[in-house]
Parts: sequence; structure tokens; C-alpha cells
Amino acid sequence: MIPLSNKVILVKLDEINFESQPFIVSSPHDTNKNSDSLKHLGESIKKYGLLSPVIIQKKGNSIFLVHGLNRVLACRFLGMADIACQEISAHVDQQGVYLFSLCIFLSHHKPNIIEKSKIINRLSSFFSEERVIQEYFPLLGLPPNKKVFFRVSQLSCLEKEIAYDLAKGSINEELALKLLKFSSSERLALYRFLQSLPFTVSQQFELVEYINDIARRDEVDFHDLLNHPFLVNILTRDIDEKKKAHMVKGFLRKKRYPKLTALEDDFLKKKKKLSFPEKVTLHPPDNFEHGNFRFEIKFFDSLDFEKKIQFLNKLLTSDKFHSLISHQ
Amino acid sequence: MKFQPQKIIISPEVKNAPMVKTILHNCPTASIKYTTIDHEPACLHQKNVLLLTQNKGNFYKPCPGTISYLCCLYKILNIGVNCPLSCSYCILQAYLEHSIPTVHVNIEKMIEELDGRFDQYPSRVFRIGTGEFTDSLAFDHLTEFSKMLIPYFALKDNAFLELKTKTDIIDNLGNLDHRQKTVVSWSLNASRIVREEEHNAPSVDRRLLAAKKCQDWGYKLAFHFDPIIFFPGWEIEYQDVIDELFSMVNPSRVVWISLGCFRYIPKLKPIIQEKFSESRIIYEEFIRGLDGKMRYLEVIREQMYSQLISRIRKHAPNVFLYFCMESPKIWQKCLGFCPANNGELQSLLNEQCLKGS
Repeated sequence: MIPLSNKVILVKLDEINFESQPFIVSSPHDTNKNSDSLKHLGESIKKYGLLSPVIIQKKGNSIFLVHGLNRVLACRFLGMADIACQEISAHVDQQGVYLFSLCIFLSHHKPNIIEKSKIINRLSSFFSEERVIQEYFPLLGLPPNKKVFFRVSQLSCLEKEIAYDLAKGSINEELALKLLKFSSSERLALYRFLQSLPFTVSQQFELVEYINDIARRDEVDFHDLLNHPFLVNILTRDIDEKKKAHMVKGFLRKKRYPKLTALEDDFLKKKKKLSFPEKVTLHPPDNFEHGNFRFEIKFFDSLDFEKKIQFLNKLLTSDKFHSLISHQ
Repeated sequence: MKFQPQKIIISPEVKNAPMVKTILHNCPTASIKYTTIDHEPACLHQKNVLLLTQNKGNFYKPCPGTISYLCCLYKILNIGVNCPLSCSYCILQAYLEHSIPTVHVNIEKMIEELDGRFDQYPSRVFRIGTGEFTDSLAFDHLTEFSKMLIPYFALKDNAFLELKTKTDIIDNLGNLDHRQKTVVSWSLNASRIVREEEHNAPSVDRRLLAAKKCQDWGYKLAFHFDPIIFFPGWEIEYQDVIDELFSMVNPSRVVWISLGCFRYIPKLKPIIQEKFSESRIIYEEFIRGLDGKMRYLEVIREQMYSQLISRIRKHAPNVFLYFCMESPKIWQKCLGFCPANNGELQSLLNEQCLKGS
């Protein structure tokens, strides 16, 4: 049993140590005064008062918050001077207080992925990796293995901005892990770029790969690459966002694969000269290497079919057609 | 620098193997531990440790090759895994769970397996190499494997051994009765690639000096330009290596030269990025091949092969050239012929072995 005093005391809000919060489990904290959750809590406190005291521990001259961060924030925003607290004895060590805080937290919260990451890291400062995996992973809803330990524990290194979106589920966890491979400034630049347009998740992965590859190959800074005049121009133009996303991807792909895209462009140019009828398409071999050329013909009646077949027949004697397929 | 391990881990089941005694004799300063590698997880990725263990599987196995491209049906003798060199492009990094240099010391089993094979199929020609999962000679100063293996193959009518290396560790090969049944081969690359990507490996000069010595000792030689890597200035640099090669060795002693452009399984890319952050080789243009490996565009491969072949042909018009894991189209375009299938390529290489022996 944790020696938690039954006595409720009043503590001045500005005496609570906000710099260091070793026992707070929730993350990332929404410290915005106007956030919905804090606004609602503030209104409730205004109307009914603080229904349950927050929990603190006094150590030397510092008062550490153990549980009740949102209540403390809401009270501060309301301009209150002090707050009702219950105190944990100063004799209880950090590990004891943290486990107590974690226990309360898990009893009424399902932790998000960032919280899980921070919990794992904090627990690892007290216990062996093996013990954290075996004892605590089931409580956190994580499969108890080392791979997961490694994966999830890294995520707490993410910058607040990215962590916040990850906790909300608005970015893909794999993508967040991929971003961890970069320096903080590269990661933020990439992340903001990916958020600037409605890219799909698979496009986001592709773009990260392109940008990293181009930057390493050409030895250019991520920022310089992402501020390329062409990209800036696209981003500031008044066109449909999806179209912008498509153009941005096309630009970066071309920069990453200049030779392959040149082959594609050349093929398209030559194909255009042949003036194919509508709904007759010629596809090149995959990557201009594997397999065969492929015709796709759609027709709606026998006359249409006949016309298209005649067109194909004419190709046999067309130099332009032979030039199109010969260099492959 | 010849590899001298700081620590040797010996699996208890092989502690009495004769080869262990030889290795310990040749490593007087190494610390020794008799245990299994499972009990030494910290050593799993250390290159200064040597693991002596038994090969629990087969020593003799077919080369994994690749699907959808022509392969030479090479046979592998699995004498060990990993090596003391650290080539950034090494595929083993993605295939194996650990990078600890490992020697399989239960060679009695290996001999039993080989005898069984050779006796069972007396009319077949066996072309066997030890350089697939390790470097054939990187440990030879410690294991003295060559002193056993080369005379063994010398007595076999239907088998040839290829020792494939990037090293110049050939001292043990000097006075052996090889009867031209062993081909000593070197993997060669442009100087810049050797310098920047083949860490701990001897320079091309040293490799070729070693090749010249082996030539003088009467061995057949072979060379492998694999992986051929695209970088600014590759044309001149590969040309220089080819010129240097033929300034050192007699083309008539070269039984084959293989060519293969850099290719990798996608899993290797993040490994190279993490372990060799200075390396730029993965940032060229690659497409996913039919076997799932990333390859240069066909036009690039064709350009590189054609250039290298033309230079080789200038010095050695009759040397047998082949591609490792290439498409029939590339064969046809760059070499002017294409084996009908893997079996035909195998036969062509076997013929090269049989010439003059």
C-alpha cells in the first residue's frame, strides 16, 4: 500500500514543479488553454468545484505532481491560486510513486502509442527489459517480445508535433518509425512537408524514400531540396490539393529516377505521335525490361472493334511504331 | 592485414576437432572460450571474434542462384560463414542473423559428403566453390584448409575446386600438388570501390600480385567483376583495373571471367544505410528485377557490360566470359550468344575446367 494521506491540503498552484514531471504518464499534454478537453474541465470546475483532489509528492523544496495534470492546468487557466491535493509520503521512492501513478492511469485510460513508449522507457529505468516485457506489456496491450520493445520504446523520441499526431492516430506508426532514422531537423522538415498536401500513406512512404535518396546521392540538405523553387511554386499555386500532391510526387520521382523517367517520357512522346484511337492503349514492358509490350483495346460493337483492328494492322508498316518498340 | 581474432569461441562439440588445434596453434594471442554462440550474444556482430563450430547441415549444396535469370548451377562447399572483410554491399548482411566470422571445423563430415557425391555420379563434372558464404582464403593462414582441400581435389577425376577471394592470403598454396584441379579466383573491382566499399580488403594491386604468384605455381586463374558498381568515372576506373589485370596475368591461364552488376535484395538497403552511412552505392537508379532484387536499369547494365567486355576482349580475345544472374537479353546483346538454359551454361563452364587438365 502506498502511504497516501487522507488529509486534503491546499497547495499554491505556482509551487507545483512544472519543469520536471517524473510521475506523469499521460502524453503528449494538451497545454493549449482553448483545447476542448481543458475548456470542458474548466467549465465543470467553475460550476461544481474540484470534485477530487490531485495527488502530489513533496521532496525537499519541490512539489511534484503525481496525478491530475489536466485538473491542475484547468485550475491555472481559471486563474485559481491554489488547488486541493492529497500527498504521498516523501519516504516513497520514485519507483513506488511512478508505479502508483501508472496504476491509477491504466485503471481509467487506454494508453496511446506515445504513452506506451514513455511508460516502457520509464519502467526500463527501474526494471530489466525482460521484466518490463513480461510483466507490463500485457497491461499495455502489447505483444510481449523484444522486437515490439525496440519499436515502441523509440517513439518517445519524436518531437511533440509528430508525437501529438501519432497519439491521435493521424499518422502511420510505421512512417513515424521510419522518420526516426533522420535527425530532428530533417524529421521535422520531412514531416511538415508530408502534412502539407493530402498524400496517401503509401505516397508518404515513397516520398520519404525519394527525398532521402536524392539528398544522400546529391549531398544536399533536406531543407534545400524541399525548398526547391519548383516545389515552392507548386505548393503556392491556386490549384486542387490532390493535383498538387500528384505534381510534387512526379517532380520528386523524376529527380530520383532521371533515367527511368526519361525512358517513360520518350515512350509517351513517341506513342503520342502514333495517334492511337480512343481506348486503345499500348503499355511498355515493366521498367522497360521485363516481359512484353501489352495492348489494351476496349470496344463497344463490332464496327468499333473492326476499326481498331485496322488501326493495329496499319502499325505493322509504321516506322514510328517500330521505332517505339525497337529500342526496348 | 591478415585476420587475427582477439577471441575465439569454440562450440563444445568440436573442441577435439583436429582443425581446432591448427587454428589455436595459429592464433597464439587470442583468448579462448568453450561455449555456444547463444551464450555470447554480445559477439554476434563482432568481426574480431572467430567462431569455430560444426556445420550441422550439408557442406555440399547448390548455389541459391536466382529465379528468372540465367545461373551457372554452381555448387557450394559451406566451409564457413561471414569473413573479416566488411564490404558494404555484402548480401550476407541481409541473409544471415549474425556477422561473426565462422569456420565449420567438422571437415571429416565434409569429406564424407564429397566422396559420396563424387562416387555416386562418376560421369558428372563437379565445379565446387568455397567462396559463397565466406571468402575462400581469408582464414586460410589460420585454418590451413587449402593444404587439405587442394590435394584432395587433385586426386578427384570429376571435380574442380574454385577458391574465390579478395585477399592475398596464398602462402599455403605454394607447394601443393594441385594438378590444375583448383582454380584460384579473385573478385576485382574499381579502385574507388575497393577503397570506399570493400573495407579491410587488400588493394587490387595486392590481389593481382597474389594472382601472379598462383599463376607461377601453375594454378588456373579466374576473375569476377562482381559487383560492378555505377559511379561517376566508372568507365576509366574499370578500364584501369582490366588493364592492370592483364599486365600481371597471362590471359591463357584465365579459365573464366564473370561479370555481374550490383544487385541487392531490398532488405539490404536499410542495413547499408545504417552500417555504412558514407556509402552512396544504393542511391543509384534501381528497378525491381523479376527475382525481387534491385538492379540497375537494363540500359545501364548493358552499357557497363559492353564497356568492360570490350576492354577485356582487347587483352584476352578468347577468354571465357559469363554473366552471373543476368537475362538472356543481356547475354545476347553484350556477349552475342546466350546459353539455352542454366544447364548449358554449366556445361560451358565445366568445359573450361576440363581444358588442359
